[in-house]
Amino acid sequence: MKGKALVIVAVSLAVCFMVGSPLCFGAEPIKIAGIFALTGRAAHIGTAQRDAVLIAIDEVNEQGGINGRKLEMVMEDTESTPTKAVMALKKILEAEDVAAIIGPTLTGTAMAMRGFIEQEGIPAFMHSGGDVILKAPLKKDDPTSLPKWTFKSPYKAADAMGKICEHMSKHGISKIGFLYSNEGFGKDGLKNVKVQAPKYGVEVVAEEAFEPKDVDMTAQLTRMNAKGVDGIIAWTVGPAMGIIPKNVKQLGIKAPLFECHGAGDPIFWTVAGEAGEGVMMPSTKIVVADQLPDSDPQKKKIQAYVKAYREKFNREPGTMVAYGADAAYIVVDAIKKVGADRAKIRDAIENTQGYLGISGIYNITPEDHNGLSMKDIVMIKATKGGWELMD
Amino acid sequence: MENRNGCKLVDLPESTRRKDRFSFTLLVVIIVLIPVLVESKYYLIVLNIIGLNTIVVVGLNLLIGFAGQISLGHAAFFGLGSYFSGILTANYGFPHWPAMVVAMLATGAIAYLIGYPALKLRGHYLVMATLGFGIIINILMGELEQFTGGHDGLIGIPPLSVGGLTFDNDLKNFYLIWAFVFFCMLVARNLLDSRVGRALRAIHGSEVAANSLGVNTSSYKVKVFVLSAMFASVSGSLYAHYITFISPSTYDFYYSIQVVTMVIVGGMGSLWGSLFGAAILSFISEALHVAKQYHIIAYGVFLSLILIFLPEGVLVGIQHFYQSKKLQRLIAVKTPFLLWFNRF
Amino acid sequence: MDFSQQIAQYIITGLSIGAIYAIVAMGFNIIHNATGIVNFAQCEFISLGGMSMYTLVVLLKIPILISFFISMATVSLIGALMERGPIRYARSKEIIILIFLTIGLSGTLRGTAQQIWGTDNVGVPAFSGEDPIHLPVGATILPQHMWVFGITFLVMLVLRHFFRNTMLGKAMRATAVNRQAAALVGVSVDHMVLLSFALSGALGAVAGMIIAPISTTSYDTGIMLGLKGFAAAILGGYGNFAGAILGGVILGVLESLGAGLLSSQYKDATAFLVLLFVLFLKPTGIMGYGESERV
Repeated sequence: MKGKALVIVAVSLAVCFMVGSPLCFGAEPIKIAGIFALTGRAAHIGTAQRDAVLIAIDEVNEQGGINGRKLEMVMEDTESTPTKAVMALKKILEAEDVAAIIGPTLTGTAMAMRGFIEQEGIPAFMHSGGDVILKAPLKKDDPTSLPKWTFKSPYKAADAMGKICEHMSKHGISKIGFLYSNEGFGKDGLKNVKVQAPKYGVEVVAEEAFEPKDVDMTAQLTRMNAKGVDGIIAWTVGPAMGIIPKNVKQLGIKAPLFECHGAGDPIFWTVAGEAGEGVMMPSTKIVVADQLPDSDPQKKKIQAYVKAYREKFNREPGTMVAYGADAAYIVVDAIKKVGADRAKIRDAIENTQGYLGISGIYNITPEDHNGLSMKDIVMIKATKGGWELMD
Repeated sequence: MENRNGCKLVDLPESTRRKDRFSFTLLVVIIVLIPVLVESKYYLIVLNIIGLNTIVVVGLNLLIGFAGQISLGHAAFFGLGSYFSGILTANYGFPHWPAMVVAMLATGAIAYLIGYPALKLRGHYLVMATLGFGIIINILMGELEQFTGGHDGLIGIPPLSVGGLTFDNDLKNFYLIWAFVFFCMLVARNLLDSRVGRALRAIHGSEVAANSLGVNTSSYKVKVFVLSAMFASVSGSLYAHYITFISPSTYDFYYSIQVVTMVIVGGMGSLWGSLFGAAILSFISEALHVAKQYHIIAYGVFLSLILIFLPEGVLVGIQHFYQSKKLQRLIAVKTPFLLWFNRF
Repeated sequence: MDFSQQIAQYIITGLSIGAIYAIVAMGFNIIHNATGIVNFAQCEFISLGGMSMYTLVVLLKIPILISFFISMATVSLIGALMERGPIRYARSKEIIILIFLTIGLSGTLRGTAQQIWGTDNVGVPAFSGEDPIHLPVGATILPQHMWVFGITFLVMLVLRHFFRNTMLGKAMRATAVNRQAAALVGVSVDHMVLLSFALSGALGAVAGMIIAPISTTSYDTGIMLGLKGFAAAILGGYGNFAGAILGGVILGVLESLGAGLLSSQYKDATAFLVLLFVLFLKPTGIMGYGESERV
């Protein structure tokens, strides 16, 4: 008798195992892959974005998860290189059943992963800056073969550049010098400025490059100044963000200095020191949350997020934190609506309209997998260790 | 007879040639079996990257281990192979296989142009020259945007195809890449068994002595440099068609240092060591990810430990370890295995 | 700014960065002379010097002068430990093995630095203020640049005195010329090697510390500076001190003039191209003696 009972129990347990552990052992977490540059040359950006995403995930879990299931982020490191990014992608796709991907950090790694993501058919919300991620067709000979599964949270670099040029034309700046970092982001900026500047009546009279790890740009600035520029744009993230204002101050250049939309970060002050005073840049609203007019629909959400970020990480969020946060929130929102099915999540994301994000109000459509516009960008000025919202 | 690197300089007797054939056969068997046993696409991509690195390392070992020179710029040749193949096939619709051959020849030509003057340099000057060359090529990859796509990279490189078969997934590329690995190792083995191989070893032993014996050292040095560049180029082409996207950041001096490290860890002057070196370092680099953010430290420590305790390379190190055990045990059963293992 | 003022600016900028390359190059030379190897961990000495200044001056608020010497001593100690530990115990004395061992150790140090300080760049206060100084030739520099020139000059004098006039320095030179002969006359070669690593650590730290207020510093600042310092050492003739200074100055000024007059995109490529060109014409660097090969 006993033996028979044991057998029945054993068989039912086995059946339980096979039918599906969620039924017998509690709800399984929904897994999202987080692929960031945690080491290598983009580590400082990647780790900040990872932190930003973690806040969103923690928030959801504290509120009880999604339909009783916890959200779990499985992380991998791209080491800031394309080859390792592809390996990390394959590793996660193999090892875990992930519903969506958030990341990566660098545009080069994003481009390498893109083809495999589209092949695999998994929604990926990237927070790399390069516009090329969404604009470049998947197949060389077919310009309509645009990515279906890939989305991007940062606003278009072209729009950020447009914002600067718009500001310049309003303030009577007509001849500018463009100083850029000699790699993907900087060169992308060069292409953008040549398109955007003429739209606002601004002329680029000088273009100079520097290597990302260079320690002194006075030569380039001297040459630029000699051409009589009345405004300078410095397009880079990294230590040069601080070195260039110092060089400008040293040379006594009077032309106002603008930097890129990644400069609105506490690290700007660490590297620029006093020389950073007065530098202007486009940014997401996250760094000037308290200065926003009360009528701004995003204000409350951004303030709440900033508070949570400050409490958890004990530092101020920079502008790029917003991208990581939005990528996470939009994906999580989609999962809340349709569950952990990849194709459904993709569709849900693609139809995200009027979404109040941190970087802006997202209106994603099948043609525009980014969903932000110039309206979401603000111009800020670096002043007294903080930021001032300019109109 | 060994030179100061522990590199065996004697010619190979017939018994070792037989063992060599056995080793190559074993390699083929393993290659064929792996996809049957390993289903994970992730492991396949890791093995594919190991295979690509092995091709580069085999060529580089000919230069470093056998001819006794050094190059810290081989990422450039790997990259030139990728970019020539990529540009010709993606931008100009060239047929893929001829493009690979053109890439190989073009890279070889560039290697000759740089190698001819550079290999007159010795020691650290050669190190700097190859390092400088590698950096210059890497910069050009990013600057010559109309051809290379600049820092955004080159997209849309078509996968290789033969007849109706297109190599567009990890499994098919596994067979393709490892077939090339096999072929390259065979070429290297044949080279080393020939007059050329003996000349290289003589140069390594003592360039002055080799010269005095009538070996045209400068000519051989340049030739093996060009050959190693061509190996790297082939690997680069395969990489481009596999990942279908390339960008300059892959071909920086860190990669140059990595492949030389693989030569050393595997064992300079050991052909099979090239395979082991590539495999060990690639595996470790991935495996150490469990250490999360400490993996850079862990990798550095691991590398340092190998270089401190096993400077002749992992393969030779294992051999020595095995031999010392033999003195203690003298078990007959072990001997045939040892003799076979010794062949490496 | 007229053309001659521009040129003056390019040259002054080039000289200041060249001074850094020169100090780093001297560090490479010292180790090469004592051991024959290239110590790629020199790059980490530079980063560690800068980061150590950051911790001491910015975080712990210790006065700059004291921090300077503490940092120098600490990095010097790290260099010595590196030699006494891994390098001494390495089973093979093959040069290429030891070089790659220093690469492995360099990675370990860098990873550790990343763990301690994170990946962000940090600023270090200038030694004496940040108001630009206007030179008569029409160029401007920062007070920190004066410190760079001054300290580099001081280092040169100290090293020169050390190697020419002190017993220890002469012993080190003897070891560089011929290790066996030096040992035969009673020089403790082991101690010389240890000292060379310590000295090179100190020099790397100095380079990192004096540039940090200008360029900010991070766990990996030293890589590019180390690489170019090595290039400067080779350019001037590896192992030769006057060569280190010459190489550093030439490389720095060339970079600056290249950026200002030719093309800033190809500035690094131009500098390395010139380096290659010089090496092809004179295979042992401008002032090098040539590495004699033992037959």
